[in-house]
Amino acid sequence: MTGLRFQKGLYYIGIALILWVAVSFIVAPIYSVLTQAFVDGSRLDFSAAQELAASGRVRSAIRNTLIVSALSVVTVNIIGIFEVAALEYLDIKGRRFLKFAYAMPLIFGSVVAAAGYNFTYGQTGVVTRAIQAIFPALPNDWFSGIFAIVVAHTFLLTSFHYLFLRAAIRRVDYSVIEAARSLGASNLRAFRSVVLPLLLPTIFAASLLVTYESLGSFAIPAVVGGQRFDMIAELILTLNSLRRPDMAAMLSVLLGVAVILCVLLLQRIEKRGSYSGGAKTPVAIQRIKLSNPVTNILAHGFAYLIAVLQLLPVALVLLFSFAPAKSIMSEVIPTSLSLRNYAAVLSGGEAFTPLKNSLFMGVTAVAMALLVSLFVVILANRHRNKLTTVLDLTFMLPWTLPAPFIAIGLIVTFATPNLLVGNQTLLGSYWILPIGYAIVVIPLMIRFLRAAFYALDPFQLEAAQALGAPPLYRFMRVTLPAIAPVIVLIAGLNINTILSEYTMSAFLFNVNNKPLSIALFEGARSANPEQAAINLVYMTLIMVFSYFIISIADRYGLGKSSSR
Amino acid sequence: MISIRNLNICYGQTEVVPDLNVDIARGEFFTLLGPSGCGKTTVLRAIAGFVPVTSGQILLDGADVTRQPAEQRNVGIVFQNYALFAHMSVRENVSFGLKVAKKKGAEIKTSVDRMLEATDILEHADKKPEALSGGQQQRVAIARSLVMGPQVLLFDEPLSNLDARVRDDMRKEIKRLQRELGFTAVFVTHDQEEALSMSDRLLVFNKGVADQIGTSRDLYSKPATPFVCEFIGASNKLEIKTKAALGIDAATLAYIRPEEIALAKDGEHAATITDIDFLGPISAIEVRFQDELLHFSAVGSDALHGLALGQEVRLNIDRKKILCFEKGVLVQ
Repeated sequence: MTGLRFQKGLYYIGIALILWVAVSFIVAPIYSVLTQAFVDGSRLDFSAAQELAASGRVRSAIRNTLIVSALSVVTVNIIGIFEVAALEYLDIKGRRFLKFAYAMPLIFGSVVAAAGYNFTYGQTGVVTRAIQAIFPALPNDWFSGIFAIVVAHTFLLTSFHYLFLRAAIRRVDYSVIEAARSLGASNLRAFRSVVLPLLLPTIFAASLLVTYESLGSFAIPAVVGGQRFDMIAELILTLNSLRRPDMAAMLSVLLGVAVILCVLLLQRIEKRGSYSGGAKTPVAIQRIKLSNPVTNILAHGFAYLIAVLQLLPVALVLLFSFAPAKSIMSEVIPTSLSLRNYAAVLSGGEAFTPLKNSLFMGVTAVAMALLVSLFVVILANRHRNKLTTVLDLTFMLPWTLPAPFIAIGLIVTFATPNLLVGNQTLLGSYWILPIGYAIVVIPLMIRFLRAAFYALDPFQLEAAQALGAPPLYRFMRVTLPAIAPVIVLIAGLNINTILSEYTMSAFLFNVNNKPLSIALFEGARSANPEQAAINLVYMTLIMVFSYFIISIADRYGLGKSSSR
Repeated sequence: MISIRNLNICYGQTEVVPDLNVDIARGEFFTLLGPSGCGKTTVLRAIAGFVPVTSGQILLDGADVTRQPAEQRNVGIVFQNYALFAHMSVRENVSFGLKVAKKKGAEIKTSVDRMLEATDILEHADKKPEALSGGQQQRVAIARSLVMGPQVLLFDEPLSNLDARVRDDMRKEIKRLQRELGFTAVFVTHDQEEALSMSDRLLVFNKGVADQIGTSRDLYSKPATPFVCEFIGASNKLEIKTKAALGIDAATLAYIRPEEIALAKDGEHAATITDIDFLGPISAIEVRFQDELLHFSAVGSDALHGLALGQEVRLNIDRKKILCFEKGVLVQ
């Protein structure tokens, strides 16, 4: 009996712990942002909003963000739908190569992609120099501002189309297309009036995700946008560093509202579900040969052009990561290759520190987040009551809020000694960043873990109980082994997300814990070839890690965790 | 109506249909029958225009349509999974083809209403397919094809997703529509009972080759090959000792239908009962004859009176009804 009592005790300590986490790191920060934005002393105050509205820079940042988001949705859909059609609807030769190329955004995202695009098309970029060799009139900064941001978004945010629209078109029952054709419809008409309506909910969902990502886009505008082009996320950081947390908070509330609207719409689409067609035996879609030779050549040409554009930055980063520093900002194709850059990073010197920091913070943040998520899911599974519902929703909040919102919340809450954390000042300490990371990854962890728990066979647990196993024993010997593979994968995916996480990092890092993404960002803006060489190694290492994790996750059907 | 001449279809290196010749008459109910993977669906899809023909010809009403795209053939097709457009109502589904053909609104409404009436789904016209039962969805699929007034309606295992009772109703329904509207039907199935009961003529496929074309009765009483004999109806394959006892050459493949074996007090052969399955109107009886097993049936429960496992009985076997094959061809 003492064993059982001990387990009960552990259980209540656990509940207390997650309540503390929820209050300290989610509720309190959100509360802080709202009071910063709307309250002065003890009364409502809208001066922050008025000041924001009066500032030309803020207005232009909001306008820029809206324009970039609107343009991105259009261009991403054009490229994304074409990519999916080229892979799954049309018979284009070299499908495996195209698939590989179109999958690049899965491993090439956030600050890595920003640095990669800068390395390829930026002021001293390889492509810039290659074009200048032919057309000397090309200005150094041709790839900047809104154009550069939208181009980068266009290719990088196709990952949602690649993942979800492809899955959707594969679910289309091919006999529906044949039925339409037997009734006299051409291929194009069949696509337009039968296939497209079935895909529309998915296209809409992907568009919302693109909007969501564009609204909060940070690394890309910061690296390729140029000095005079602000978007909202960047401006929030600027306002914060100008000691105007009230304005920063107000702006993040604005961003938060926009993002929440996206999320709400998204959930409505998810709830409505997609047309299943009721086919008990769906026939796999067959790719259509274009009979008109001109259309066929055009389709092939366009498909390969996109593939090259998707691959180019990745290939150049990989290639030049083996090039000597002196060739990096001068050559178009490196004349000699070596492992020297890798040795410089991995030998443990100064260049190793950000990598070490990010790995350590990634692992600790994921461990903390896993512990909390597991307990939340177990609790919600065992007891369905108001408390568990509220807890569940609370921990899902960080998914519906943009990262700058949460970051500002943590900054404001922990800039002064806070009783919630033993009267410590967390801001400026090592731990604030891993805590931020953990908060951001918890929602997806809960989603995946919940799915894993649903998939468990309840009779196994009942069998164990009937055989006399106490709760903790059942959990350790029956539940945990069954969901262990999912846990390992979730951990891997989230460490991967954290390695290139930029927004939280930019708000919360300090000299003690400078993470990889910040080092990358600084390297991308530096004119020092040595720095550039180290950057290329960082990027390659992150991509290799991502590739490894995502291939395993893909095999187990987990897909890619959405990264900010 | 449909003429298939020297049809050859290959998927890459695999020859699915080596050389097929068949003529299907106007208004005929013609069935392609065979086990799964025998190539029957491939032939059907080739008639519809969904499978490229490697060589040979397909003629519809005398016109060569071999290279014509599916949408220009005026051939209707009813799919195994119905392939209804899930985002459209029943009426929109049935109107689809007429809209593609740019018919006038009023004309579309009249034709569609008439067809919904004929297929008995008018009351469900505004529902989405997912709100209908399997049988009703099947009717929508048929109506959608028939409204186009096709010369030919193709059915690709249309009943295999329905439960037994609905399947029987739909069998009769399809036959009724075919008689009333007079279209030519080409029907694919692996269910021989379905095929025998519905078809005017059938083609039995064996690995892409037409083993026999004929009426249900032809196929049953005069199977052209051992494959047809085994595939259509039940039969006892006679083993070596039985053949010896009945005076049949050991090298001959011989079969006897169950109904040609009968219990008789003064029967000519002795056998031992090894199993009796009472099934109601008939009973399945298994006996040991010359150390080999034979299956046949007895009609009514009276026939079972006084029968028990292990009991010695007398049998009559009609020697003239034994189906004998030499070198794969029926000789008697």
